[in-house]
Amino acid sequence: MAYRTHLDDLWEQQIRPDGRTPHELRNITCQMGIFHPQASGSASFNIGNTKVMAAVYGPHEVRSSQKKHHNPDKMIINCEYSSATFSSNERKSSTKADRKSMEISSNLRSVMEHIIIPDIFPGSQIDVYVELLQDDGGSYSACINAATLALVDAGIPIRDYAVAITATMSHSVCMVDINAQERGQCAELTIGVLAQSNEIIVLELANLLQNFYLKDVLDEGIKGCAAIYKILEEAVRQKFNKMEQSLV
Amino acid sequence: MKPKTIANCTRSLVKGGAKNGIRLGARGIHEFRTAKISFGNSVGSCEAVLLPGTRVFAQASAAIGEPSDSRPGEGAFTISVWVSPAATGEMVGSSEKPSAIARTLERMFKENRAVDLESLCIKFGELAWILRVDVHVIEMNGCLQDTAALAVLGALLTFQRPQAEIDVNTDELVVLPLAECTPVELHLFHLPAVMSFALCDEILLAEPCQEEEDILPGKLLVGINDSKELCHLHLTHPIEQELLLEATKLAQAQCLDRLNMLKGLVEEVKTQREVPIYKRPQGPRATGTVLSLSALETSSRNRSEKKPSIKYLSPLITASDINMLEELCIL
Repeated sequence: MAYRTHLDDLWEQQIRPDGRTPHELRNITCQMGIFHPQASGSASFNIGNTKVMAAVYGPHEVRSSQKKHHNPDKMIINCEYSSATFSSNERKSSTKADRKSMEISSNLRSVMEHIIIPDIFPGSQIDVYVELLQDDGGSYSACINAATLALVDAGIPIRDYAVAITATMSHSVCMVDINAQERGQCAELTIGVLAQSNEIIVLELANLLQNFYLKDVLDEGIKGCAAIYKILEEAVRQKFNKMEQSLV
Repeated sequence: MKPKTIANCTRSLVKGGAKNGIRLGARGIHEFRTAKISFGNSVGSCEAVLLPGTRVFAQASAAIGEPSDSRPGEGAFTISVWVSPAATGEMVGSSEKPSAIARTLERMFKENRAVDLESLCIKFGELAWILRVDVHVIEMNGCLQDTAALAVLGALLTFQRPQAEIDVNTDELVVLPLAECTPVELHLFHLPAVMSFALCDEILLAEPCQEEEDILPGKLLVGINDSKELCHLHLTHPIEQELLLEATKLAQAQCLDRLNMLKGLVEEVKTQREVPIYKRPQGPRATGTVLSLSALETSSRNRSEKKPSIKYLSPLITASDINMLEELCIL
């Protein structure tokens, strides 16, 4: 037996539990160079209450432990994802070696390998460290955005921005940017695209989604990605305008 | 371990062939592999083969233990994956392969709640069945996730556990042996299956073999359940939206076919087993294992050791038994 709540009344006006309309993103702030000057590049990306930091070290010489297996014509990209023990509702004891983090690390690496121009620094290594500080839905997509910004900040040549957002279908309405409260009730599809070519590069699904709806959800997600791309580009332009002015 | 070296001519053969719609092994580019599923004598064992040459074995088992603090009203479910070094010719114990398979399976069966864990609860917060599926990759020729998911599903569908309950009067745990109760099957909310594709410049290759997986740059996994819901998506290479939608359409048709085949086979196995509906006689209980809660730890260990096969326990003589007896007499 389901009871009617004030959220149902809101939903009739197509207003989501946190007061947004279906196609509205949460408040986004991003900042570059937060670990300046230790890291070559760094960035933070906050969307609503989800907070992610990323740092890029390199390109530098390949660590001796990996040198043995390393093809000297190739470049090593190393990604490490970890989440803070206090990032979600349940306090976690180990946060780096569990399967979930390892999966995210390896997925992030495959995304980074696609956007960084290949073998431009042969025989060297780039490290990307991503830390999730607070998880309120869409953490994986925030990680991708933060890592992209950090790569730009480090001045590593990339082909294209990888931007990502979550989307879903609920009550036959497409919604973008799912928060943790909504995630409990509907599917969460993380969509990442290459911003210029609009090719899909990341797809992760949590919960069940009718196959029939996939096209609509993808369209919604790609629209959301375009909005994120604008914000990221704006942040990059601001930062480099400032640098230019300080040089003059 | 260094990745296997592949000859340039093999590379160009596979890539050039894919562009012209020709594949190694003479399959069409959208043609899926043939699946073969067989079940073992013990409950909850299943072997799935995707021809040519990928073989995965899964065994489901259950023991009584304590539920987790965060979910006191549910049983637990763990999946562990072991890739045999004989299948790959390299040490894979700690590499990414088994953990990638395990993550896919976890996402499909655990996080999407395919198994009804609430039905595994015996006493809230104290006792629950701990369900476990061990997946062994015996032969490897691409499409590991597809085969493993099929094997796990087969194992879960044919698994049976004995009845366990708390005696209301004495507050003791009573585990009835399989021979004198109707065994309980698992309840699954939905049946997921996964299909993989290799991607090569706007071309989809359904269920690639190992060589194709190594050579072609991208991989796409699409998991769909029996009610046409997507339950897993994974992508490692940029892809156009239309191609993705085409892939999910292909996967949906194939998943339904494969699940129907599996359901048919499972029904066959169940009718072969001829499990009797057991009715307990009136009066005080004469048999059954009565355990006090403190004795639980040792007893659960013993039980898992001497878990008997269903054939041994079946009190009714099946047709196959009679055939066997006849053969023995002739000999």
